Amino acid sequence: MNCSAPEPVAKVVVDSIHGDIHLTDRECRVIDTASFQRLRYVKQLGMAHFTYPNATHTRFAHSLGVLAIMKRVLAPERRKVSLTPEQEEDLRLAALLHDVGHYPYSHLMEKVDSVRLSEESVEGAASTPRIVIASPYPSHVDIGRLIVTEQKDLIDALGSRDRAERIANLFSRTQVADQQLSKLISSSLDLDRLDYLLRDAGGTGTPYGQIDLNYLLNSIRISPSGLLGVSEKALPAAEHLLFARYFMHRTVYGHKTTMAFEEACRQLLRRARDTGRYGIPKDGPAVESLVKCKELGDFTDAYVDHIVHQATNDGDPIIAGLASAIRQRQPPKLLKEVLVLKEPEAQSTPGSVFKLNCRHRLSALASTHGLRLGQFLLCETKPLLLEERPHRITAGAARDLPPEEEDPLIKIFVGESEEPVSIVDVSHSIIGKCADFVFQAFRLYFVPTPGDDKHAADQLGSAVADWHKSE
Amino acid sequence: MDGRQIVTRLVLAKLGLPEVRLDTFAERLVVQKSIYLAQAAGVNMGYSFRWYLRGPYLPELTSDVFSIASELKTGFDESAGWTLDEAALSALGRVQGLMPDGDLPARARQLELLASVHFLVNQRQVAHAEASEVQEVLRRYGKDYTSEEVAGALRTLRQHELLGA
Repeated sequence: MNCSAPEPVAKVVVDSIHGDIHLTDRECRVIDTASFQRLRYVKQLGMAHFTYPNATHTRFAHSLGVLAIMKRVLAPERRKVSLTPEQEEDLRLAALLHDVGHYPYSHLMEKVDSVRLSEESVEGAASTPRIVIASPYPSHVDIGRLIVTEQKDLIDALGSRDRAERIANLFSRTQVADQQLSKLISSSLDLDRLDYLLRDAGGTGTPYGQIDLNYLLNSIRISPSGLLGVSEKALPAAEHLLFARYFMHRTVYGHKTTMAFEEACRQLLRRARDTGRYGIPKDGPAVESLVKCKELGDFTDAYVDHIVHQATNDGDPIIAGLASAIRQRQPPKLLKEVLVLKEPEAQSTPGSVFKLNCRHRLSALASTHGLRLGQFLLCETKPLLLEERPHRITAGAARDLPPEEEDPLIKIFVGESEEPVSIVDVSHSIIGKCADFVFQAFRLYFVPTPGDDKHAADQLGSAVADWHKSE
Repeated sequence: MDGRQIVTRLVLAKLGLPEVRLDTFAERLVVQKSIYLAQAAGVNMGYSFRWYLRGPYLPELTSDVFSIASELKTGFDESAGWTLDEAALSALGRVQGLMPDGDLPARARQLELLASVHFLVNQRQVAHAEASEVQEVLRRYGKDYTSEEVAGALRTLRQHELLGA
């Protein structure tokens, strides 16, 4: 075990979740860069503040929170793996910088390329062959990599370009040189969720993310091979963490109103971008150019707010309608919601039937009511499981997963064993028993525009009421 | 399928994997490495691969591909009517040229080698793109590729313009 002397504390920051966070001089220098300060103006939960007024906490506070957790995890008494002081500092800085590449409104703008407009996905709507442009916006992890290795203020704060590359390798999990460090970072960066569940619960005022953080952190151990897990006595706390995540997704992250605003905003951005409006980066390379220059500091929530504000007067009635809905906080009308808890091996579900019906019947419905297809938003939540692993790998199959697929699973040190096992392998854990079920929500919204029949939403709702049933 | 899943589905079909079979790890590995190589050729689907014991891999991609396979089983193919742009089709043409033949284990092994070598060189995880240095890193990860296999992979990647000369 390597017991290095603690580094001097340069500053103390008080955090609503973790209390006092002691920062070293190097950490302060990184935090004080303009590239990092940008995160003060990027909300953690996208447009959730339209639903939960207090959900305005930022990526900045979350990043400090993950640093605080990493500091506790790396405490010498908790690990049997040897780390040099420099490796420890690298891990702390990687934790601090892991979200530095987030787009305005976090995942909202990042996922613009995943949006499908109704005109593209509904039968009978497209008059020309549909082309997929294969140069989407990069993930926030790739953008973070670029920022850390290209922005001079961060390179200077980190000490050198080589070190900046090393830190970027760590948080983007592209570290190859040190297998042990690589395993540690792979199994530990989901410390991320220990912070965001509590912070998001606090910000929204919902109780579902209230996990037993102290007990979990006090139970964390790092095995001789570098795997991170919790001791068996903390199994209930680990199970509770997974249920907390599940219910936060059900209630907060997949909330119907938040989802409606975010989908409306994404569709607005995609329509505006694809028609060359408002200077929105046209593709991945354009985003990469933007984040490498000084304009990075302006790439915050305000960047999107400004576009929305301008777009309220857009000549395209669909863009203007979407912008007005966001600007005036008039949520798109929910016409139909289909909630599915899919059992193992089930194939067709009411959700897939609903999507099929939307594809086949939405065009005619819009035409009947004299509406544009672009006024309809068809969305679905990500498939949600209790344990975060690729869905449709059943709990049984998960017992034979290779390291790649086992990586996201929480690990438990059972009995006196030196190496942990995945939580689904613990025979007395409830997770393995019910981890095969997948929850998903399918929703169809309507965005009214001036001039539409006042009763259009009611009539549309009645028309689609049975679209989850097979004909 | 969302927009990215549609692109992924189209790319897999172009690379000879239209059925999206995922029952075994080897099948999932073939899918992962095929998508990795497609991105390396310039068809950017926005996947940020990480390094694992078996080379570049991404859990989110496995999730996406399971979603695609799950939808296809319902008889509903949302990618129908979509097509890739000319630049993407051209890039995929180069990847098609290096897709290995043989049974599943042999294909999985060769694709793992190609993707791993590309990742190590492209992410600057080796100082020099030389077979001996790449082989040494792979050996640390328990891979028993011969120096001839590694040199062959480097040559193939260069021939198909996935790595600079």
